[in-house]
Amino acid sequence: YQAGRDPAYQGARESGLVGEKADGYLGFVTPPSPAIKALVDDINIKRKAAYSKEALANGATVEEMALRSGCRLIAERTVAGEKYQTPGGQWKTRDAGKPELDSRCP
Amino acid sequence: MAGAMMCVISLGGIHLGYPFAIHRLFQDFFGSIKPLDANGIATPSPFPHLALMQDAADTDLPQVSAPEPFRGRRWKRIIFAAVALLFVSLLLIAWGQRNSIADRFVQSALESRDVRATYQIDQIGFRTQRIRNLVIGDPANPDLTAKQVEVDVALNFSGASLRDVRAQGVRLHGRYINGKLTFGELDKFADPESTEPFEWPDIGLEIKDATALIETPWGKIAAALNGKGLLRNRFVADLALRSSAIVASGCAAPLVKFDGKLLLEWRQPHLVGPLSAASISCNPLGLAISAPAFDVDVKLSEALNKWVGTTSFAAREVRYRNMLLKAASGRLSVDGGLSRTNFALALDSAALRSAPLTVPRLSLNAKGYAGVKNAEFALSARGDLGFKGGALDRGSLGSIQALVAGTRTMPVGPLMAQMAPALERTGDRFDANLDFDMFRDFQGRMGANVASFLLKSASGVQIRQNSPLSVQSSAAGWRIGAPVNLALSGRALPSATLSLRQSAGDQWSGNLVIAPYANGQARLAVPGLAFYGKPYGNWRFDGRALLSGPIPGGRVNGLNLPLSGRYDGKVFSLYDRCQSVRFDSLRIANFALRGQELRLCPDAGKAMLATGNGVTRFAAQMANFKASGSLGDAPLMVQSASIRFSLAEGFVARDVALEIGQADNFTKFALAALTGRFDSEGISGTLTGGAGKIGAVPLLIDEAAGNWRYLNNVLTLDSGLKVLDAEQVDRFEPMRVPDMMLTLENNIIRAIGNLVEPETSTRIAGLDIRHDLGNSNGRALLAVDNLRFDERFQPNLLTPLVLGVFANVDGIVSGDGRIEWDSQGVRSSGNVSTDGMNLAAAFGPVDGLTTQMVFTDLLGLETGLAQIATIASVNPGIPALNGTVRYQLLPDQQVRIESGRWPFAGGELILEPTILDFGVEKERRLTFRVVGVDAEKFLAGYDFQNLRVTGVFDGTLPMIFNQDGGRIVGGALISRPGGGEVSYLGELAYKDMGTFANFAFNALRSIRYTSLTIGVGGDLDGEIVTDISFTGLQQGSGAKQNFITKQLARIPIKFNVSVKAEFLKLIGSIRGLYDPSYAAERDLKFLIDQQKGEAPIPPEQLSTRKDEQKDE
Amino acid sequence: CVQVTAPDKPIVINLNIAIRQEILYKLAAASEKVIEENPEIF
Repeated sequence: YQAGRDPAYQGARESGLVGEKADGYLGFVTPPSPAIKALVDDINIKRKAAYSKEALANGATVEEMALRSGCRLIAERTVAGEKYQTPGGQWKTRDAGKPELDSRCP
Repeated sequence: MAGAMMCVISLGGIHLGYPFAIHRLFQDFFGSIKPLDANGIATPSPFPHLALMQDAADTDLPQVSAPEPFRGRRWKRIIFAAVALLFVSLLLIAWGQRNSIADRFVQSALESRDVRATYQIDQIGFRTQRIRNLVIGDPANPDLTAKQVEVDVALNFSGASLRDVRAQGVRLHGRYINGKLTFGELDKFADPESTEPFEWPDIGLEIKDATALIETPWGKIAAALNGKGLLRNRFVADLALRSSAIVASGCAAPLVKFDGKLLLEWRQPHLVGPLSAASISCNPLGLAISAPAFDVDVKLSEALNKWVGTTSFAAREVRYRNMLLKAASGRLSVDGGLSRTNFALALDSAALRSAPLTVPRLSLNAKGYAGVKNAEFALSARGDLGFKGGALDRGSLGSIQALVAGTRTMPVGPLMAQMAPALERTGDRFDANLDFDMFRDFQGRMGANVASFLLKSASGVQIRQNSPLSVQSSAAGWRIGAPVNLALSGRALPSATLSLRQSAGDQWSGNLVIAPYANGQARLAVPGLAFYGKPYGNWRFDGRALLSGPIPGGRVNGLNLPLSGRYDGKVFSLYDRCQSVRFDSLRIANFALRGQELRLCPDAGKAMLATGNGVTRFAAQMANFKASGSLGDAPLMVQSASIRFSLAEGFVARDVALEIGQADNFTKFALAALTGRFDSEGISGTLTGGAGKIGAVPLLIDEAAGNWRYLNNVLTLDSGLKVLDAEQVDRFEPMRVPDMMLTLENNIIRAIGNLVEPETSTRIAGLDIRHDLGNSNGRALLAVDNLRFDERFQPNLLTPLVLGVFANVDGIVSGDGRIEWDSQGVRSSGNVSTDGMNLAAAFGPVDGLTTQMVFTDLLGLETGLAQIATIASVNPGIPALNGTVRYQLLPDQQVRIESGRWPFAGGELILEPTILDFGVEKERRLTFRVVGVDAEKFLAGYDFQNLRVTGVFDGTLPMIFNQDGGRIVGGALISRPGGGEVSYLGELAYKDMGTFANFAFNALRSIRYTSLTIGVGGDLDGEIVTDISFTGLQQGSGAKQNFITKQLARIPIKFNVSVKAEFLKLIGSIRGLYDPSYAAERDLKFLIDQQKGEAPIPPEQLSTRKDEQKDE
Repeated sequence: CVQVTAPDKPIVINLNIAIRQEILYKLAAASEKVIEENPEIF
């Protein structure tokens, strides 16, 4: 469980409303309520800002940074029961097994 | 003798002084008619003077009790009898003188009656016989002595008969013992058994220097007589009576003196002359008369048992019980006998002092009859009693000042203040008269009938008894028969009528009616106030008063106030049951209530109002109070679920609702609880749970709580409250105003305070509101100064519009806003500026935003045209620096971009006008025009030392932005005529790439093109598909030229290269081609580390060493 | 791939370069850092 998360965000993850996308951003598994949507958009904006800063510092593109982080987020930071998106765009529920990652993930 | 009459009516306390006073008056007035007290002493007559007269009559008028001669303790009669006897003895002596036979005859007569007598016969003539030195009785203590007696005898055919007698120097001594008057030896001449009434001898008598001494059980009486005349026809004598003291039946009269005339007119005694005594005092009766003096002129019947005559009387002082009459004088005429005497009494001047009453001139006229029968007396009299200049001691009317002070703050205040002086001075000087008719029978039954009673005070107060009033005394004490009907009127007084009735026992009941009475400020009417109770006991009263008048800070009109309650002699307590009170209008300062009915109920079971001995306590409660009225000229409606009010603690109102102002946009407030206390300056209190809206102000107030004070027409309120957006879709989050200072004065609400964000307590803006309740116009000023946004304080705390649009805001905002509202509606304007703000948006981070927005509609977030924003850098994927955007905020969260210019690699990126809609989740189209981009400058930004591209490009980059960022769709960059060169300045990193590659590289090392078009598409921050087509290729300046290449130079080669790579990566990979350190260093080293697993860690990656092993 | 005739028409060379570099390795540390430093948004 990631410390410091907004309870609503944590709740949305646990209830499978929201899941990690391969591209490093959060995606909506089911159409979200305005409140959840605004909250997730806000998180994605902050992720993009963080990726942009880090990408600039590493001479990589924002997308690269985001994609690489996405690999890690799905592999390491999603727990059983949470949702993640396969490279094919399909939402899967994480279980004990290895998640299906993007080909470019290490 | 008479208590004063006083009528005081007040809202708060009704001083039932009135009925007492009257009751006391009657009691005093008639009280002195008391039934026979225990030891049978005749109680004095109702009027002390009459009683006084009565006693005087007892002692002075001869009372012949017909059946028993000489007996009876009436000694007066005895004297005359003695005198008569004197004459008879003289007659005998004279006859003796005539000749010695006569002498012997006398002697024998004397001896036959065994009378010891000595005398000297001086001359016995034919007609006149004279003797000297007559002594009858014990010579040492003679009964009768006479110096010289001359007797004339008349001869007629029936013999000698006595004609005239002349005597000088007569001394008579008599005693009245055990009921009989004896003259010692002289008695022997009287015929003891004679039954026929006393008969005056038919003689002429002349008597000089005659004195008599009569000893009676009541004191010695000395008489001196000189007179002459025919006894049976006309006899005139000077009579002087002296007695050192006469004491009879408990009364004592020292130094009694009578110097007058005794006349016998046709055998009827007639006394004329002054009779006086040092004093008369009858202790059991409590009567003491000092220096009584009578001027008697009374005729008595021959049998001395009837009299007629008059006497004037005067006394320096008459004291009877607690009454004191001074300089009393008047006339009494009597006609009758002991059993019945008609009398007429006129007391024409007397000064009365009977605490607390003093009457300088008292007058009394009474006619009637009285009588005594076996020691009982009866009386019936009709007449009138008058007071001139009567006065009551100050304070006897009770302290009116306390009552005036008590009612000062009540509507009746002004009336009380006006009545008080008149009422207070009522008792100072007044005239009164009373027509009465009273009786007392032998059994002691007494009664009186007052036909009319009128009191006029110098202060203008008039009290009049309208209908006859009857009073009876019975064994059980006093009872008023006919009801008392008193009417009070006067210059400064209301005209009031009081009817009073005495029901069973000593229960009194009555009704007070006060006619409408007004002065400039107040009006009072008491249609009826019924009361019943016991004097000095408990009273109950029930009635209604109609009042208009001032109340603290305002005025009430047409107040219909019930008056129901009890009075226990000290404290009035009113309203022990719910009462409904109606009024036409009520105004306090500029707060006015229209007429309505309030239902007040006792609080905590105690009577609502209690006032007495200087303390007034009032506590009541009202359930669902509802009232409409106006505040200044703004209509007002007030409601409260329950109000508990008490004079001491103030009031507590629950669930209060207030609506002020015109119907369409009125100001309304709801309060959970409103408390108030009255103190010396004004009213202050607290309010909690306040919520409301001021006119058309688009703010809602909630959770207001604070303290308020109302002082000379100014309401001040210090309270904390919450402010919310009145719109359905909130434009801003609820704020707190911890320090709202609100004042309401002359219909103007002014409020200042600081708007604070509740969670972080950050001060957002200063707030200054002004609202005119009258016309519902007003304005609110907002002042934001240096509001700092940082990671602790983000805009989404202020407004929900920002979440999901902007984030990570870091910068300072200042500005001011103005909202105005009136009947036309609400208008708002303002300006907001920020300098160097950084934020993150969906399209990527923005740094160094500086703009000044001038809002034409602040609340609608609408700005004017051409707002200018400079942006240090925006990075939708490719950082664009130093941009300038001209924009306009439109309603519904839309932004019109009028223009945007970014200097870009020597040229410019120009954003085409477009409208972005942040309100709705949809893709936003932005088209960038590229103008004059110098390829060389563009690449310089990327630190490619070995690559050089020249040429100036124009083109368009249509972008589409959505939640995930921006992407280019159908972008194209076209080189300007004159083309440019692409050349690689460095060596190949991979020497061993093969001849063909080397050839191609050397050939392509430097290409000159005439036109280069680059097609751009794909995510800005990601993969960009770029179609590059060169036309007009020639070897560039740096290329190795040889034969082949020159040939080629002439061949127009169209070289379409489609590159599918991130734009950055595209450039990166090119660099990688020639810059081993750039590419390999980053990847190769990493790969090697991976395999060895313990490669030395570059410092910046130290922290993550352990994780990598774990998860790779 | 380069003919040396002198056709009258321009020589059209289509070169499709797809540069896809598997360069995700290098960002392992960076991605770790960005996640660690902003726990509340990951």
